Amino acid sequence: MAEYASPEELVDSEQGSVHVECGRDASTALLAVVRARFRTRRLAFAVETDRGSAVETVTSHLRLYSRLAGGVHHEDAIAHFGLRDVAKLRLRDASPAQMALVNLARASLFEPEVCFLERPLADLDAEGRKAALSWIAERTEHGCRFFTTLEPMREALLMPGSVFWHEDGRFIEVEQDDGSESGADEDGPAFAGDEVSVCKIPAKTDTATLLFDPRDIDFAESMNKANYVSVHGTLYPTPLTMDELEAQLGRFGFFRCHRSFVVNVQRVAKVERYTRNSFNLTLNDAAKTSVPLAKGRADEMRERYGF
Amino acid sequence: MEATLRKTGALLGKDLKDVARNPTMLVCCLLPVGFMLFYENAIGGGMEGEAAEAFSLLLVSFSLLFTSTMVASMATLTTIAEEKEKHTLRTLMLANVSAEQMLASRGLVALAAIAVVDGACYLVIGQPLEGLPAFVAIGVVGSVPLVLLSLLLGLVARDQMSAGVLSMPVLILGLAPVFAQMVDGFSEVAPFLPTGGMNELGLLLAQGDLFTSDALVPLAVTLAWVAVAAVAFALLYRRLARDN
Repeated sequence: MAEYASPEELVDSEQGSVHVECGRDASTALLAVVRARFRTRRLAFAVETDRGSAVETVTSHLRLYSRLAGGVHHEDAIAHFGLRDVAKLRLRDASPAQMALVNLARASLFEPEVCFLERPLADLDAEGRKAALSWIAERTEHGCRFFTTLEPMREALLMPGSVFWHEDGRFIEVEQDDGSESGADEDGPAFAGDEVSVCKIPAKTDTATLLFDPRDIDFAESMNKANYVSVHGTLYPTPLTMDELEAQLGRFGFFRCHRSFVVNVQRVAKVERYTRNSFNLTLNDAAKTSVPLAKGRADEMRERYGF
Repeated sequence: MEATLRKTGALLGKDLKDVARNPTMLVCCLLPVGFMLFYENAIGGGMEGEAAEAFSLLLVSFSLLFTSTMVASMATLTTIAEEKEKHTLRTLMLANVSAEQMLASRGLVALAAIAVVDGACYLVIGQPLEGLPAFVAIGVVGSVPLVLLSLLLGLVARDQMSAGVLSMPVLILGLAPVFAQMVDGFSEVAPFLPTGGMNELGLLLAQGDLFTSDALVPLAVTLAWVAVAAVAFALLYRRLARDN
């Protein structure tokens, strides 16, 4: 797995699109490097603090940037990002989710060759994420190189390209899932059906060990060398490995959809495919979480569950 | 070149709309007109003879100087600071808008606003209509040094609060000729200040002496300040834009 000691090394690397789980300082440093390195290319940026002028409406803001860009018509961007209903809304009244979509729509007007996005999916609901991810996938197929900074890593794994996390000034690549690993539950002992069996998933808080009923868990996630289970929208660290989680939860309708994720299939509301290699599971949990589905595991999921 | 014109044109459209949409800017454009209305009707109404003539000349000075200082500092310095504070300037810069395009747009809008406000003030104080084009031209050309200075200070200002502090030298420098008559020994220096030439030309216009040799010195002073401000601007704006 690749590792880079500075944002300059990361940007100069042969990696295609790069998605980095990092804090604000690292994001600012990466933005400066991207801006300096690709000054002569068609660049677009969407930074979290972009708020536009308070007196402008969504339409007037995008119309201005459409004229500055000389590219996509602003009405096309409004349509793609589902902003038609709020086209006359003043930016000062826009919600964080609406502002995030406006920022992405603005970036799309430039038809960029290189694009820097800061937390592009953070405030978006399922529809917004779909619009954002489909645009990112479409631009990627046109050769655009994306640099995104975000938290949590789950969002990075939804996007095409390499995923890194930032630790002690270094950018460390996350091993990507090609679906070649076999499921741990396939080799495990079969559930006899009539034996008394108790299954509780342990998770830690500051003062206690919680024992979760598998049915309450939406998904399990591996992030920065630690594993978490998501229960009612909150992530709890668990001492179990992903293989152990897969083995224990498999009997309760969980599926290893990605090297870093085990998902409760009962919670899956939508399976979406943005490009040939990009799948996404949208859950019907409180946050309408999006979870990546590795290309190689999509067939297995289809075979096992029939969708 | 085509891209530069397209971007500057887009920015001009936005900045012109901002004059009407931004309440602070709108108030600053209306204030000089309001002042002239007040002075003309509340104070000058009962005057006759030489006193009325002197007061009329004073209003010509007020019109030019108030408009120049208030609109120049507000339409450039404060608005750039406001855009910085609200991150809208950074969004523009990240959209491949250069500092030159942004400054050109802001400067042109400020001069356009000065032309309109000068014209309105001139009509309000009851000066003859045939002098309007010359009055507006004097106001616009004479305001160029203050507009350029305000643009530079706008690059320095971090937020609207610091813009308030930085606008003080613009106000003092711009309004200095008004106070020249009240300070001994200052009246000889005032015509050579950045707005002094403009003020003298305005007074000559009101007295019907604009197209005489008396106008040569104030005209030369005005053009000299325009040149000095342009050179200072060309030398400093790039470094200030980069550092701020």
